[in-house]
Amino acid sequence: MDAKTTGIVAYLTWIGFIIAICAGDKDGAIFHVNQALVIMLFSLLAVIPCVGWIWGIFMLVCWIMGLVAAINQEEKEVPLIGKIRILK
Amino acid sequence: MKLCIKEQEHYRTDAIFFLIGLVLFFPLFAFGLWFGHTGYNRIGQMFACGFQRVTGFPCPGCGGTRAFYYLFRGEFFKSFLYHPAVLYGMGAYLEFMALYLYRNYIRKTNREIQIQYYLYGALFVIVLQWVVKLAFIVARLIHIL
Repeated sequence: MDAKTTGIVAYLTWIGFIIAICAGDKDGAIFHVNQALVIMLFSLLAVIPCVGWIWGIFMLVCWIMGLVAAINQEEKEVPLIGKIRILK
Repeated sequence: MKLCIKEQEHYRTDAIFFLIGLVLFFPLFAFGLWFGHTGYNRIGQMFACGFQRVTGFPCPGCGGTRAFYYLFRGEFFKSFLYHPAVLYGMGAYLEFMALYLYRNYIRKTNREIQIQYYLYGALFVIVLQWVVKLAFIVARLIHIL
């Protein structure tokens, strides 16, 4: 897979993320692979009742913004959690 | 009316959110009306907050269900008092849809709407209302009010 496809596939749930890590051009799309990981890790907080659901809406909006940035091949950080770098 | 998501190999974030908003419009209002008239009495107890039951203090989302209920009952002030973020969310949604329509069909500019400011505003409102609620509860605990 080329870098663009890897970036898009990385956002498509955990399965897509594993596919992007294993089969994709990880170094070429490291920004989006990292951002997808951060978004999905923080999405796990949405299982908390009440306040987690608001957080879930927030993460859903972030996820769509990240996915559109990956489709456009822009390195655009999502708000609030986009600064976090797990994968270097 | 033409809705243009893609222009020159570039997908527009606000156009995609506008489409999602259009799709969500009817289900959201149908759910709200149902919830306001029969749903709250039936399933309202499902949304009770565990955090508040255990600690006695409200979490940042407490009051959201009642605010949603009163919003669709038409009592906006009561809704605002329970949780301003619900009113804010509804207002931001309507404002976003109106602004998108205005920019694309009346002004005809290509300037994108920056979604992240809506998110920062929502976070600000949620944190602020939580602090105010906690301040009221603490004040009541130490018998100021």
